[in-house]
Amino acid sequence: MKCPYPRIVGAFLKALAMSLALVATRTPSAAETTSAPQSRIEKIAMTPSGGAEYSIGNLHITAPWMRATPKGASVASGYMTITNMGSERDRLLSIESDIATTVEVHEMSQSGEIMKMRPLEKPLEIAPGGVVELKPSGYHLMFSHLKQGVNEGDKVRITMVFEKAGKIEIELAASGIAAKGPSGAPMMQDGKM
Amino acid sequence: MLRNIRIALWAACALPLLALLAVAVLELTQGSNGVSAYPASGIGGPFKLASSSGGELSSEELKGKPFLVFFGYTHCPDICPETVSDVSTWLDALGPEGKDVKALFISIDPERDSVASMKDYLSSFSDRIVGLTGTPDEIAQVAREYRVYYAKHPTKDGDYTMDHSAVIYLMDRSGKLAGTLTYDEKKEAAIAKLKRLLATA
Repeated sequence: MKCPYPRIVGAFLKALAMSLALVATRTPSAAETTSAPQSRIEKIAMTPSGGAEYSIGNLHITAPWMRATPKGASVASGYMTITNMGSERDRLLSIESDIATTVEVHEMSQSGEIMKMRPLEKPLEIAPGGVVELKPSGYHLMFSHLKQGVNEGDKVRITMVFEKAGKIEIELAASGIAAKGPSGAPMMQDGKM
Repeated sequence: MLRNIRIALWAACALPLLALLAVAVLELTQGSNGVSAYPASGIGGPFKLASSSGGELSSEELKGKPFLVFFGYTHCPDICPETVSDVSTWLDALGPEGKDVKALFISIDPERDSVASMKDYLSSFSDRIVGLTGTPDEIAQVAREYRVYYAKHPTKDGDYTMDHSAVIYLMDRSGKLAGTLTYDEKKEAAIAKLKRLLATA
């Protein structure tokens, strides 16, 4: 007995193999750690980031920012780019801020038109030579139970503890409530950063 | 050996059928939530909800006026403020032409979103955005009418986040769906769609 539709099977297997290959070669979703070529790292270091830049150990943090919060908001989110110049992976173990009871890394994801927000189950990893972007609609610092609102122009101080690089205090510059990126940074018109 | 090859061939033969079956099952299960493809005519329906502008707002009062509807919650740090501020920017850009266009921000988290908290929250945005909330049953009903999915997702500290559809519906003067916008719509495209909505009789 033979398969009654050998051509369909052939075409299906070919399509399956091609899509598997595509998935395998596709870079991980925007928010995930991607291995950065050297040129990318240099570019980040030179880009006017519109905010402070920080270095601790092998980690380089650029453009830490957040949005001003609507009146009475109980949550806020913070963003930044973390680059690991070292040869060992690092992990973000904890974040603290005076303005919120808890600060965690959350991930926003979209399936179809449905939005989901989840705390990360494991600490955020920054691969050796990798760049992790915390940005709208991706990873973000989730400030919960805000003790005070955030206004445009505020500098919000946070303390981050990394497994290898250690503890660092940085300031997130608050942009306007409708901002799509850090103020002063070159912004794609209307686009996401 | 030969037998193994035969089994592999038959397995390959069954693959397309299995894939077809999987797609069919997915379609069916998603369809029952009203999450995936929706018929244009099936969106929207009557509602009466507590309004951040005071009192109640009912779909009756919106008759003859185009409006926007989207669902979210104020304990959402990322997409919701972004959607509200985008809608706010678009409405402002319409200017006096769009003075009759209301945008309804319906809370899918009625446990935490009171009329007062929504009023506070929206005071930071265009006054044409009206916050609506209600009892869990009222919200469930309006979400069904608009085929909006939402679900509570508990987090370990006893808090929760909400999964929800982030689409913005454009409803025409007769209360029918005229189109949609997404939270990351380009400003020009969004304003063009809103102008088309205004132009429809």
